Amino acid sequence: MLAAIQSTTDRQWLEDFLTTFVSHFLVLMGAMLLAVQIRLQVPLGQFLPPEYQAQPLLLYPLLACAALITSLLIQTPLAAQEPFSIFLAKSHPFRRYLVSLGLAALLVLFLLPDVSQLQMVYFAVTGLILGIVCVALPYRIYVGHPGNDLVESLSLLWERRALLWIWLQFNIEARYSQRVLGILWIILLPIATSVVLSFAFTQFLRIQIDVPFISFYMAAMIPYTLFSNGVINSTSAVVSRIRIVAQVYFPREILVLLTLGEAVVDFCFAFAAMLVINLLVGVSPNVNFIYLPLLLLTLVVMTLGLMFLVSSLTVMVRDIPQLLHVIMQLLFYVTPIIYPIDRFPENLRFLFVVNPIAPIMQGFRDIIAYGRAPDLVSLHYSIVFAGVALVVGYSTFKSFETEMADYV
Amino acid sequence: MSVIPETAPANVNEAAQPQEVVRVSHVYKEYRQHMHQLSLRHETGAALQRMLGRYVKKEAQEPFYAVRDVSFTVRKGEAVGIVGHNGAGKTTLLRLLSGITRPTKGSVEVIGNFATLIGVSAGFNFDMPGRRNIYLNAAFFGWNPEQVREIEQQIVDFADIGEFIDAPVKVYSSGMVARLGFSIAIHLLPDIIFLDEVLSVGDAKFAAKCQERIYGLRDEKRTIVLVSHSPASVKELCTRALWMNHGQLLLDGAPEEVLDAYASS
Repeated sequence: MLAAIQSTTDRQWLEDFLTTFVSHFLVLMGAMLLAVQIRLQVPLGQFLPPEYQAQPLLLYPLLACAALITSLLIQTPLAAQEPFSIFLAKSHPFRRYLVSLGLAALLVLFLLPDVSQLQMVYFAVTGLILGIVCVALPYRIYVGHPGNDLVESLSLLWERRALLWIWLQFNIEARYSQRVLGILWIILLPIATSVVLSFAFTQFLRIQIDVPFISFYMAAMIPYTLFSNGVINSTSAVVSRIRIVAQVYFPREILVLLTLGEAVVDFCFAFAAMLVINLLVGVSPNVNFIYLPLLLLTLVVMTLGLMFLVSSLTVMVRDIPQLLHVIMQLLFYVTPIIYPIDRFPENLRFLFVVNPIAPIMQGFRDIIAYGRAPDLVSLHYSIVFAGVALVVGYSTFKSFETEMADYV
Repeated sequence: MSVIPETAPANVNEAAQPQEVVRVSHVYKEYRQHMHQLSLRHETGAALQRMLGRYVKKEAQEPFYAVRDVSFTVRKGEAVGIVGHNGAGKTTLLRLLSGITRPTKGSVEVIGNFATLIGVSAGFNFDMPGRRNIYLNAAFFGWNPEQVREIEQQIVDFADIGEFIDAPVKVYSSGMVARLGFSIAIHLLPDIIFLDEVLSVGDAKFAAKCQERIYGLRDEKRTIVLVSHSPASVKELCTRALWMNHGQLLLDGAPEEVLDAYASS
């Protein structure tokens, strides 16, 4: 009995430590990358000049160290002592994060004296803003729901994976069950829209690019569809099945994973169709395809994180679908999908810098249509954003999970 | 009056008594925020009221407790019937037990695998044939397709809905959905089963069959907690009864005793 208690507190300790460490590290890294992006205004798709020195690799271990020290500090008896408790006590995640931020700034200034002052100012400001968004806000939402056991919920999710497969299979079959063409639509639809659009763009708008327009367009449009379908459909992921939620207990994450699964299946078929079309118009697969898994993983993680956030918030605030519709439309036009980046007005390029999915879409296009390596510097930002989105989204979702049934 | 198996002297009776599988202690479930949806119109009104609070007489919003300070334990092999009028918090209690919702205060502990049957049609995809829906429905309770394949025929036979089993569920009558749903849940053989008013599904013949099946479960020493409006079935089936009234547990004891008190109230 005593041993059991011991092991649960041990796990609690480890979990506390890990969540603090990971979330702080991600937020700090995001702040640093954003600071660099703002300072240099790296236009998407352009590589940094070779003399670029503002962000040596040593920065990342330093940020990790800062996060590590803070998360260790919380576990020590020091955290309970009077003068420190206000900053380190377990109940104040945002203050703890401030310790991380301060430590990181000090470490960087101390060990890397050549980092410019301006960049550190940018880092502090973006760090503060990101901290409020990623640490303080979820915590405010989270109040009153402590002790969601991460390991336990993930293992329960794994136990119930059969439910996910069966349900996914049902939903995909049911979607096309009463159509004459049936499952063929899953391939026909993306091809048909691409053909229509490329006809319109090449014949009426006469956009001139050096690769076939249909490859150019589909390479970015198909991944974007995965993202937008996932996020938009996630508004109804929980709400439309609230009756089941109120009557049966199962890990609620399945509802979100199900919606993501549908989008991913659609994506796979569309992607295969695209490869065939590309061969027909003379764009063949190339060695840079090795970057695809990285891009896909980033895209899926980011989509999933946002889906967790959107689906749980929609249960309470039912206005989100309408709001999201507008946001997604805006996002579509500030992402290089129907136009090449260089057509975008110079003075609005900063929109690409803050838009986390633009580098991913441009990366897909670079690889598939142009056959060149993606811009890894810009991708950094997307990767960190994806991680932050997943952590924030999942913790928000978990904190609402047991209340969902009350919002029928 | 209360004949709850007293939990206090654990070291004395622990060996003799069967294991406790459900522990509910001082559970409250408050529904205040959820009574109305968040809306600009309402929130503006409330904000105005707060600002003018000094001048306008305040309308204090009483929290509504669906369940209020309920504590009981269920031991392995017991069949507990919960009775009470509509809105007494019986279904909310079942939801709390099965983890669908979380108590505002207090704790709920269930040891062992369980299946809940609050609305029999919940886990169906209406576009899919009934036979395949068995797999989905069972998956909600943690069953793999391989495991379900072995008992599929039993479920189909028990539901006894003829060739409808291979038709999409949307063409079923509500009775057929209930029959299939109940048949699935009853064959999954959980250690603990929570049932909500499902004994009244289907026609008299099917209801009798269900009852017989539940007797079987009880004799196999599985734990049953059921909500029922039929005093007869509680009296026959249960070894213990709880009477809920306005969210509170009024009485806990032998079925005859509790039902007599409930009838005379």
